[in-house]
Amino acid sequence: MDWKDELKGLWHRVTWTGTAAFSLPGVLLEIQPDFVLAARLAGKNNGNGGAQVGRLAWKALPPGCVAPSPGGPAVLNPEALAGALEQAVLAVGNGQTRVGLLLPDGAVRVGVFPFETLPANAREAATLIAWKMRESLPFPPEEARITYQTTRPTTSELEVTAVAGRASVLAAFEGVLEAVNRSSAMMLPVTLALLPSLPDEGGRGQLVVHVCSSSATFAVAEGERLRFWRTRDFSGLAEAEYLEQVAAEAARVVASTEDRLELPLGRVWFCARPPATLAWLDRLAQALGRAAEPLEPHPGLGSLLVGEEKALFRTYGAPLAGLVANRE
Amino acid sequence: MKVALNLSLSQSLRQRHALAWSLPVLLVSFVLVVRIVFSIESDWRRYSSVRQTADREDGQLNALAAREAGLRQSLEQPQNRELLRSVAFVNDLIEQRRLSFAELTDQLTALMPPEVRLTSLSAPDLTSEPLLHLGIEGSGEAPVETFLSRLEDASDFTEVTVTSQGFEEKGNGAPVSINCTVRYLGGHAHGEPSPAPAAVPVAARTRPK
Repeated sequence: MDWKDELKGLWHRVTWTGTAAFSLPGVLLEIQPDFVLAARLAGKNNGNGGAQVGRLAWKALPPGCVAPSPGGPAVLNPEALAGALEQAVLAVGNGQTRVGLLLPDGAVRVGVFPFETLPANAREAATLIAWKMRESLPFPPEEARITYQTTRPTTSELEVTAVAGRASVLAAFEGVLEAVNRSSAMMLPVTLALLPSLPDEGGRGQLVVHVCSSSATFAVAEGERLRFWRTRDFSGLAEAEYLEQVAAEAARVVASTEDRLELPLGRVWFCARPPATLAWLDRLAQALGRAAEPLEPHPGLGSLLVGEEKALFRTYGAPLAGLVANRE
Repeated sequence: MKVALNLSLSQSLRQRHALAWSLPVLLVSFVLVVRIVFSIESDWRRYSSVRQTADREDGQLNALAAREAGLRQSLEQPQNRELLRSVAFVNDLIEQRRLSFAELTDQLTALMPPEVRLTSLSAPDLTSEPLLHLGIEGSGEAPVETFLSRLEDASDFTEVTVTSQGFEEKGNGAPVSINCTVRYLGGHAHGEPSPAPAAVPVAARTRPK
């Protein structure tokens, strides 16, 4: 290691800042390659329990504005993205500066790792997790911003669910927020926001297939544990080919889950934004050999919305509903 | 499944407390600014007062300087020049009128021949040119005469007057003893001619035989 690396490491240690605990701000923004979504929560304590979606706005993005990639650069046209976000935020009409941000799944890496123990020091634990994730990260682990949560499947085991994003990529998204005079109080990949919506199925696993903006994420949850996560980018494919690839990948995930993880899958949830045709559900059910259920937001969470915003909530609001459910 | 994850950075200490501390800091800053403004106003008034006083004093100084210049110009006139010289002389005498007995004794003994000695010295009046009372003893009349002659010729002394004289033989072997008075001019004439005006009278000396 030469002196530059040592200097870089020293600088990294000095400037290291931990990630915040989960909180649900009163305004949520979602950035996808095709669109941005802004929602203002209404209700008790402005989102802290018993919240509902009070306003919702959707704005299309020009092609090539955002290119989700863990290594970056993810934001290719920050001016256009900031403009769309500004319009969406103005449409929902909230002056809060600290907002929640849902990122494309492809911008980060998610993993589940077993540990015997974790250091009590948050920086050391994050460093250890980054080192463990190094093979799946397309960037140096010391450049990763790590957030993690732990579960104990048994008394002797420790399981860590970690999300890692390249600091520069996340900073690019935060920079866009700063351009519209906002800052992020919460930042998550969007499919993680779907998981709190899942019903309790006891000891059986549940597969969530989230299709959005030419990519698909497959997540398997078992109770409070995330057992599997994979994100695939299907950009450039025709819709029929896209559907086939998603179905084939879902079948592989089911097989891997049941064979390797020895986890029987109970239900399969399918969330497509914008909504897919029935042909998608049928093809998925055919590929998996079991029914796939649409994962839609609870209608009660959008009861304050009217007209176009109500339809928008049914179409795009599943992650928002999941976040509200996560807080309750 | 509950999610406790969050990729946002936690707020730094500064960010968390900046808003809470901004109001007290603002208030303290405002108080300090008010204090500084009042201090500036108070100092400015004091400065103006002092400046007015200084200007007044300058005016008085200028007036006095003008008056002095006028007087000096008047004194420089030919009819006043002699008076100016006398005044300068008197002022010089006043400046130098400091009687040092050590210096006086030195000057007296310098005038004495080896056979003469000083037995008493007193200066009862120091308000003007001091009149000295001297007691002199000598082994004979000639050395005493020599001393008196030197005393008369000395520029620092004048108005030598012998008040008493005796020739009786004494136990200490001094056959001649005299008492005299002399006016001491204060040593200002050392090495230079005395600027004493011509009006200063030279007293006649009496020396009984």
